[in-house]
Amino acid sequence: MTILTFSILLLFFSLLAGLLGALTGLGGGIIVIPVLVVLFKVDIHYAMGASLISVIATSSGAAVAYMRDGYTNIRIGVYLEVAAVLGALTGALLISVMPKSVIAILFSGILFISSYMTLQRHEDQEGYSMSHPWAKALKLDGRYPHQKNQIQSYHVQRAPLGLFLMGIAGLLSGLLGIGSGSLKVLAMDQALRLPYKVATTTSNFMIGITAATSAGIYFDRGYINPAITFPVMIGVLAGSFLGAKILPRIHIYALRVIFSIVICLIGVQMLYQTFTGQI
Amino acid sequence: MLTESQLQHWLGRILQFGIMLAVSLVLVGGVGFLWTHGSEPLQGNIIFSTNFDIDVLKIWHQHLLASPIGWIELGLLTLVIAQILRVTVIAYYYVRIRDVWFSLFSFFILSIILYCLLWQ
Repeated sequence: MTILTFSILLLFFSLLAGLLGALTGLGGGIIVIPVLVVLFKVDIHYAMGASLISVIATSSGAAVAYMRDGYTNIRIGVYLEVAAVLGALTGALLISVMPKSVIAILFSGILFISSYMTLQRHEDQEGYSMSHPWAKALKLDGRYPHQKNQIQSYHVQRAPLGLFLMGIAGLLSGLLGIGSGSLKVLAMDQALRLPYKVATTTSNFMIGITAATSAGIYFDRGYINPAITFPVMIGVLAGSFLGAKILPRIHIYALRVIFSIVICLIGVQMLYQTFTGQI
Repeated sequence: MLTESQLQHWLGRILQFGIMLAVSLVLVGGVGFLWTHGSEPLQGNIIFSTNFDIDVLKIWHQHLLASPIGWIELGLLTLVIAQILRVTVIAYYYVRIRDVWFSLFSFFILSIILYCLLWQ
């Protein structure tokens, strides 16, 4: 195989990963890493580096649109990012002392959890009339466009738990080269009790900053291989744009079920390769 | 005084410009790389045999030497710089509205990102 053929194949599969990531809400990174490792036998560190860069690109692209819509709560994003960057720094530093097989097993576990969470997702959130004292002191409560010409306010709950979970999300992002979008949304949805749209857009606002933190260390350690990263970044970015375009026109739940099974199978394959010494 | 909706507007513009610039640089470098190395066999090639421990300060010099890999690296770095700019604007906003906690939070985030990029 020539480098040109390899790059075209990477571009094509990354486009599919980006499309799948956008349709399931998991993001392209979590899908592109096993694709690179399992299908193309790319070193897992290079796969994580390429994924991390793709995560920054796709989250930035989506954030441009979300910023205009008024769902993103910047104060909550900045507050939670304090823990996320610390987690990302720790996670990225841990890579060099952690065997690749452990990273692959951990990654497979994340694939299974993400697959489960994709099916469990719910979009309704009960309203609260009181805020957590930290949320009150830091003015984290906000408002968002709910229905036509209606503005709905929300009150932030369990702010310290959100901070803790975001530290874990940052750690996983740095350690595995993913955006940890699912965990970030889970933290905002289940701990802070934010409306789903606010949680997803604020998570997206944060992902690029968390990933940029780890990227500095990835650059230094040589995990970002430009020749592998460029087709992956372009492919995932194009795929996620395409996914966002067709998302409103398709029946999402059926797709989520199919994709969750596919993600589980990829996780099983990754585990198999790890235990047979191929990773 | 910058309002929060103006802040969101500016953050969106920074990301939009950053991503367009990054994609352009990566595409130029990528096409250049494939033009020069595309027909070479994959096994034992530059892709897997070169150590890419990137020194951020050297990327600019590589770019000046017109190396396709240097262009790609510059594009990737541009993506990260867009995030740094974003946090800088947020920090500036909170300083301007004299929000002490959020100014501290923003500067803390900024210092961690810069530490990872420059001093690691």
